[in-house]
Amino acid sequence: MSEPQKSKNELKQVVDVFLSKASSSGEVSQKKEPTKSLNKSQLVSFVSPFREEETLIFNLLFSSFLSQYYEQTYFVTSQPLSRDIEMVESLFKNSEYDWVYRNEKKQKLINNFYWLDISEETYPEGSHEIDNQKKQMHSMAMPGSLIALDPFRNENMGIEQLIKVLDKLVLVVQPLAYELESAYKIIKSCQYVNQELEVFIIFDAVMTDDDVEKVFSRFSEIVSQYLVVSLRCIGAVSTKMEKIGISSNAISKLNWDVLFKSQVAKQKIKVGSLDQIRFLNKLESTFVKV
Amino acid sequence: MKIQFVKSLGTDVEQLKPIAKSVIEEIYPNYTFQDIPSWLSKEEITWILQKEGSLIFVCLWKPAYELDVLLPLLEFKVKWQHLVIGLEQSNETRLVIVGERISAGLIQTCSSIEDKIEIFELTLSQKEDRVLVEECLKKNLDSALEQDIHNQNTQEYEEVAPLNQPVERESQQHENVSADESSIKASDISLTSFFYKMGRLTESELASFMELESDLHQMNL
Repeated sequence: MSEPQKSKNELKQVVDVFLSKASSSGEVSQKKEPTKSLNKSQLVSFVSPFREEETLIFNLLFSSFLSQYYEQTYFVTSQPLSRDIEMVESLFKNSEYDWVYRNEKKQKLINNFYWLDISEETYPEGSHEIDNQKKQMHSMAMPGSLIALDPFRNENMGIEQLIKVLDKLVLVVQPLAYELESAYKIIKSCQYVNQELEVFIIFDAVMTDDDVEKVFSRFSEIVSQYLVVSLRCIGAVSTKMEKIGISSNAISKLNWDVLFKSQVAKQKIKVGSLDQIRFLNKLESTFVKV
Repeated sequence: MKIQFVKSLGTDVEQLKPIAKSVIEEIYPNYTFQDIPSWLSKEEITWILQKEGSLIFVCLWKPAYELDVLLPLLEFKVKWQHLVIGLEQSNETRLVIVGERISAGLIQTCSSIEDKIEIFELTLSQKEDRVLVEECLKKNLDSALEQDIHNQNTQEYEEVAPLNQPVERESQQHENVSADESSIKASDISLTSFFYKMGRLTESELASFMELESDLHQMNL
């Protein structure tokens, strides 16, 4: 079996286990009281350097877990390839949530978790206008929604536009120098476009808290030396089931609170925010009431 | 399908060449693998690029700090510049660069043709992993060949202008090296290329990550 296929199977197992446990424990079906005030829509992307294919799975895996904290969660892609559809169908195949892609805009995956296809939508170009009223609309547009964008499956939005609308970027990296170096390049390149972007790290590995602290501290030291960016660590979880038998418990033990807390919310609104508002408004018009 | 050539140009690519050759022969039987010999003249290289609409596959295994030493060397520089000139004049040709820590210096020399370039990085440890190398090649070649086929289907052949202005290139490249970051247009490149081009490391950043690599090694995670 080739490495990518093996990896895909491992991740499939991860999702299966997660979904079955979540289902049996009612973690997904019963929305938890949010630990923090999540009344503001959040646009987030989970990205893994060197593993573009797996970003789809990471975005699905983590955002489906996080859906319990939000009113609605959307996994957004445009023009999904047949292999993407097959992958998602395969991931959800063995769960009790039977799901088939029907070439519709919005597909319910599980409970309040949806896959939204925005292929036919167009998005306005960026603007330098600062408009506080529209900023308020941003927070009103879809209160309590989490929107997960897979950047590698939304490139038709335009790369700059895509990065501009993001609130949070979560980099899923192994604690290896070359992965961290690539993560740094991603952070640096995104900074050119969206200076308000908050960046988070999830180490994809079995690590002690002490090791997580050491590696993250060392990495953030370099980042802070050259860049001005909000960088925080969510923790470590191995996505390879073979190693530790990952479960929803492992994911839930990550320090998600750091993702919910915004460090830049009180900062002065910048260019990207208006684009976010436009994006959200446009996105909102594509939503169908459930 | 029109037969194309996949070229390899590199400085220390012996490890990759046989893998690349076997992958290409296995996956893309209509394409042939051919190395660009170092003794080819600039006219021959540009002739190949112009007349055969070649797909170029460049393997640069050298880490950036070595490449930056290597780039100024006359032989490499001349060969690289010929490649750049050929690419500038060929609409059908695309370049795939695979290497370790693609250096800022290398990227800067390509800025005039960056919309024709796909970049993928592999590390020292990865290049020993044949499966990973194969995946990398397939992935990049898929992307490049898709574009190649698209070009064949949608673009009429355009006669390229005769190559008679190499003298101008040196000064033009200096201009490109000093170009501002904002000159890179995100709209025309893939997200991966955007990350690597916009996020390219400076010498001091690179040095920091080399220290990090050493530290992580000592941590023995």
